[in-house]
Amino acid sequence: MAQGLDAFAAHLKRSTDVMGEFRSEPFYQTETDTLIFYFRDTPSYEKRITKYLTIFLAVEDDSLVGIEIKGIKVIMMAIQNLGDVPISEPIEVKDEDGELIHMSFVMHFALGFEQLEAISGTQYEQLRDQVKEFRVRRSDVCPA
Amino acid sequence: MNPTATEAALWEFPGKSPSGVVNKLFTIKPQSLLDHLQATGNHSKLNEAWHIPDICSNPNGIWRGLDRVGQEEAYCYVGFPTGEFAKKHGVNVEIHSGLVMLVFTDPELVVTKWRLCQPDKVNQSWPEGHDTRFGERIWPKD
Repeated sequence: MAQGLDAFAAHLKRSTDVMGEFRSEPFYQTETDTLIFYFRDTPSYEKRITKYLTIFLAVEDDSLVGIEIKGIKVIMMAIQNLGDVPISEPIEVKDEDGELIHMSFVMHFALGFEQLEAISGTQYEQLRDQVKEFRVRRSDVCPA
Repeated sequence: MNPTATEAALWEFPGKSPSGVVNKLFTIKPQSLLDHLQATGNHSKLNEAWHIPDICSNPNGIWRGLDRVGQEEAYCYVGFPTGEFAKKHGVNVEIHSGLVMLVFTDPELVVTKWRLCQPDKVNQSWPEGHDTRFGERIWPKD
């Protein structure tokens, strides 16, 4: 049963009370088909680089805070078309090896080579370093 | 204790309909981004969620379509964070002046994600890139 805004406010308060220390962890959101990845817990605003890639910059000093890769299904299908890529597993992001696509590979698809100039060299190096340990599991929503 | 485990599956609240004329019910589900932010200790992003009801009830503009496959019918509500909803519940949230807030919903007005954005250089009530990133502005009409 749905509750109203008072319950929502109570939830936000309680969530804040029980939250632990910040942990940098990617998150795939099915509804929007986006992969959201915050590297730090600091107020941020978005900077849209391409239709598939947005970065988050700190309000305080414009330093890199996170990344959002959009249209993951399209990107995964494009990667799949490059070769023999199994698609039996749902999309997920993990920090372990296996039959997972490197997240940096996915990021570069989203960024596009022409757009490399749209972000600074420092931002690009930080993005590359932040995502290099993560892998994206192929989705069973991609057609065979 | 995970606060989401014992609570309702969703919250509903009134806001401006995409037509901009009447009010409609919006929905926020704890599952998905809200739960992720709580689980990963992301205080900054969770604090922004306090602005969601204010933006949906009093937006500066409403756009439809996110210029990519599968998101053609999604909505984006844009407004200035005021902190009113938070204040009503005894919470002071940080307001970053000069930035607008974007709240995204699916076609059924279920809130999916939110963030701050630089304003457009000409119309500072609207987000940077509003003329290229969305399908169409549906409120206010020209």
